[in-house]
Amino acid sequence: MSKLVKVTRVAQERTGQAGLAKTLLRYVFPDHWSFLWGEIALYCFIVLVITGTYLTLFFHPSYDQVVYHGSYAPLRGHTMSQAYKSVVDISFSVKAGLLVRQTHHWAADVFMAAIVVHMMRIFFTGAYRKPREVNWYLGVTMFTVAMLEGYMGYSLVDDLLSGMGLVIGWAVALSIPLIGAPLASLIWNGEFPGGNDFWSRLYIAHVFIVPLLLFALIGAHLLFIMLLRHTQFPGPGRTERNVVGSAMWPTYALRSLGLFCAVVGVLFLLGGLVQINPIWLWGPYHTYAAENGAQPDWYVGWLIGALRSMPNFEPSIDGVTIVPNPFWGGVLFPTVVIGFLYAWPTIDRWVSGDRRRHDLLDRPRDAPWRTAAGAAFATWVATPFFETAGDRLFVQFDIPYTAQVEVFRALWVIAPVIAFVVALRVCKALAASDRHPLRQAPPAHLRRTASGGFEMVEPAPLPSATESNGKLDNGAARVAPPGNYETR
Amino acid sequence: VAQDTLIEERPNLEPSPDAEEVAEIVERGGAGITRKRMLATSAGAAGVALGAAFIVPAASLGPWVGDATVQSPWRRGRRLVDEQGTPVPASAVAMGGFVTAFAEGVDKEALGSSLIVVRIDPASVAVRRDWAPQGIMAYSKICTHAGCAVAMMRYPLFSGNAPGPALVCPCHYSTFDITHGARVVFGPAGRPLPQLPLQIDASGYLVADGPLSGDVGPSWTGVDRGSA
Repeated sequence: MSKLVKVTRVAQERTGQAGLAKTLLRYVFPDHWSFLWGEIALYCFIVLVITGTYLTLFFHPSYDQVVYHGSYAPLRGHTMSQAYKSVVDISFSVKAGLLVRQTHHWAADVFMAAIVVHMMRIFFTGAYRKPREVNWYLGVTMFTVAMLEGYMGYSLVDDLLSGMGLVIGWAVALSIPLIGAPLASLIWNGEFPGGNDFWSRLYIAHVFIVPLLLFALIGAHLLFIMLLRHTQFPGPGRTERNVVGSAMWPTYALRSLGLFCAVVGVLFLLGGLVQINPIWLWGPYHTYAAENGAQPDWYVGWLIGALRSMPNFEPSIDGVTIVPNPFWGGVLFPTVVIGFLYAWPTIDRWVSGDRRRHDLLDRPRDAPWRTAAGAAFATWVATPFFETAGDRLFVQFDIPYTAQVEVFRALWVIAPVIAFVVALRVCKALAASDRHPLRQAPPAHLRRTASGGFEMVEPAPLPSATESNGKLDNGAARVAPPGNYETR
Repeated sequence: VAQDTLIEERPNLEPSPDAEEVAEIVERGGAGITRKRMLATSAGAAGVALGAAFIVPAASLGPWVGDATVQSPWRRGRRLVDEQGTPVPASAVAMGGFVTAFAEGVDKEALGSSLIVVRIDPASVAVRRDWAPQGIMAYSKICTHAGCAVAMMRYPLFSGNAPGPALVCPCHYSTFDITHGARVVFGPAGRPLPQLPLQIDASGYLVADGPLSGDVGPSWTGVDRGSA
């Protein structure tokens, strides 16, 4: 009896879960390159937790003002908060501090990028349809929470850039009609910048409450995938009722471990080689100081651009403001965007009238209206994102900021319409070319016979994951991968 | 790594008698509870009481309609000082330039304290001329849109159709015309920057000649739009 068998026996006699372990080992993952974005996001989260934990060992979440006498000469003699000073110290004095800090920041940026691309993959292939609506809602929630988490993370540093971001956050909170002022006072414990009470709140939210929430959401997200199995693209042997792909063990687990190592490696390479958020150059935040040409982290760019592009419009009665302007770009716009994402599975059901269960994915061209709507929506969100780079356009190309804003306001309305029309036409053209007779897959495989003729052969049936249990590596479980993935 | 391709059946999600049974078990359990009405009523009453208990702290949280979110330290006679706390003489403000000033004896970080002090040709000051000795004007440095420090000044020489002198916020490009009491000429801000009436004292230093003309910082429901 091998040692492993002893271990599994001991485990079975203590837990009785050998059956579950067997199912998990033979759990089937369909193969498609576009399925890795969610995994990249997951691995970024792991890197964020590990690097973030290291940073908490040295970070002081305190607004107390101190005079800097550290190793970075240009800042000596400057008054700054303990928080900012401790991050400067992490960058210059703590062993591997700068590497870990930069890796943490890069991981946050890649995390958000992976989430966004993953969400687009789910959207454009229709993977959110029944029975996976709940997982779509969980995903949209994670996107929102992760964005907030990132914003809080770089706000904690209290450098000039992050302070400007925080004061805008305060103004956006203030701008909520009726409840804005008390709400902002509640969060900031009175007037901005809020002092130590606010810093304690920001810190515990960033390092404990929100990560815990994200952890729970990720768990629920993965649990739902496990319950329903992955979606798959159509192909030979693939139906709405089965999953065709590689088993957890040995194939997928090892492959995914490889991806994990690659993600960690790339993030640490970025953290070690590519400078990000050099806070010692921005200097400490002061309410009376500001910097031009400042760019936020990419995932809040759409909100800065929305605040910037909004026309000067503040409804008022009798000289008293009712709705302050930051409400439109800072509250209403993201609420509409997130609300649209939450509503999308319902909108899809309503437009298509399709209430059936879907485990096979569409290609974007298969549902032109969905792809066109998604393209228009993405363009609508991306236009203010590009507006955020306006100060760079001003500095690099000398384009006046006033003209830029006018152009972006117009684009905000026009570009989504253009995107819709173009996407619709492209999808329809692609779908039409698919229907061309020469692109049709043959109904069956042909084989040349010894006599020189041809005979039809049915594709060999794929082995079932459950059948192959218990008879590993006897050859019966192995088949050649289906060669032709043409779907029609 | 082995590249097996396996096939697995998906879980059955068809309607199942189990679902009905679950509902039945829950219902049967609930049927044993007598005085359900009383339970529901007391739960409702507890909820209402808890909600009401939150109103008091919520109401005392801070500024409600009409209050100020930012306290202003400015009143007549308060001197303007620089970052080091030394009084600012009128001569420190160059034509077409600006300096940042604070209320004497007040925390510089307090939003109500900081000012952007500019000087332009006195003849081009269109409104509140008696607030602008020698063409020197002081405005709150905190943008009325989103609270960033208004840290840029546009000072063209009025050639051709160049825009007039203005303060620009780097965050969202709100642009305030300083010849007209910092009225908004571009960008998302809805209110002019509050202006501080200035005078020059006997020793040549800048001194406030009254309170700010409006509320400092970003707007909330109920803030006075102010005039420029």
